[in-house]
Amino acid sequence: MEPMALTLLILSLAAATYLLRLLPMITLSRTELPAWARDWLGLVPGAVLAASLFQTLFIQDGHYALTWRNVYLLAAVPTFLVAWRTRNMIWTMLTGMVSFALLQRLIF
Amino acid sequence: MFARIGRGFKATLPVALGVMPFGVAFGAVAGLRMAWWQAQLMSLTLFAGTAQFITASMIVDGAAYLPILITGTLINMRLILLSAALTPYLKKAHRGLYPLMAQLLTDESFAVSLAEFERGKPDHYYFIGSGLAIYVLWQLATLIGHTFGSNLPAGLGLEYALAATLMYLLIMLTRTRRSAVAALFAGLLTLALYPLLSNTWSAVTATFIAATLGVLWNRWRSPS
Repeated sequence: MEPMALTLLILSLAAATYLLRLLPMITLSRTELPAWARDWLGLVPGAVLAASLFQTLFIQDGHYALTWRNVYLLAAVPTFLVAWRTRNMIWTMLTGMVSFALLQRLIF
Repeated sequence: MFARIGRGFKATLPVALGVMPFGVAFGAVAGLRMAWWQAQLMSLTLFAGTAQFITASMIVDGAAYLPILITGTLINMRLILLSAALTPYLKKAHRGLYPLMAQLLTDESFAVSLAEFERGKPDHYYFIGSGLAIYVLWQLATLIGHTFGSNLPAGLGLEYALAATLMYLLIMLTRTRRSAVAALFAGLLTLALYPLLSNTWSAVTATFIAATLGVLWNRWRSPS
């Protein structure tokens, strides 16, 4: 992406997000969001993250990579367990990076 | 006024320090494709950790403008919920403060302030102080990450920082069983759609379908 296009992208992301922050403050002081909308909005972030994560883990160089040589997938096992058990970002990152680096050396 | 801002600022500092590693990680990822001022511009204007992290990694992967804009906005949709839930406590604030308070709204400033408002009395200056604490340290963390991220040697497994962070965020954001199932479904669906759509469009489509099915499932199981 060109620097100019990238700057434009950053600013449009910021503008869209700013509206998400401001509009409810202005409009919802009297009315409330319907239950189904609250529910839908609550489910979206997890779904986006999972979609992103699955692509990172299962697709390598544009192809499905469901093999034991896929280091991204193998390193996910200890990393996910630590994330789940500790709920600590630093430990999760350290586990992920260390197991990825070790596995890479073992396999290649 | 300044004393009340200061109270919110101080109460939020530990949380803001806890967010800093995430900001450093963002700065490091952003450093792969963005100039320092672009990473900083993103932190100053967008000021939303998860969305910044995901969009920065999409930019690194070479994704196109529209999918990035949609994905980042989808992630931030939950700010509508936070904003709506906070508004009743800000009733006494002058209208002119709304644009400022909106920019300072994050998961963290929301959580700290709401906990305080439910114990004591609502105070919009406390919220502004709380938001400022996150804002200031987030800027600092971005700068640190961008400056030092590119100087780290290869072979440390840094390529995996993004995947690890995604796993951590995913666990923090899927607290109910239904949200975990919806997330798992979105993950599998994006893989199934991958041969038909591009990387980013398959993620956007899968998210829409999974969240919508999650809502329908809930209504079908417990009609109200």
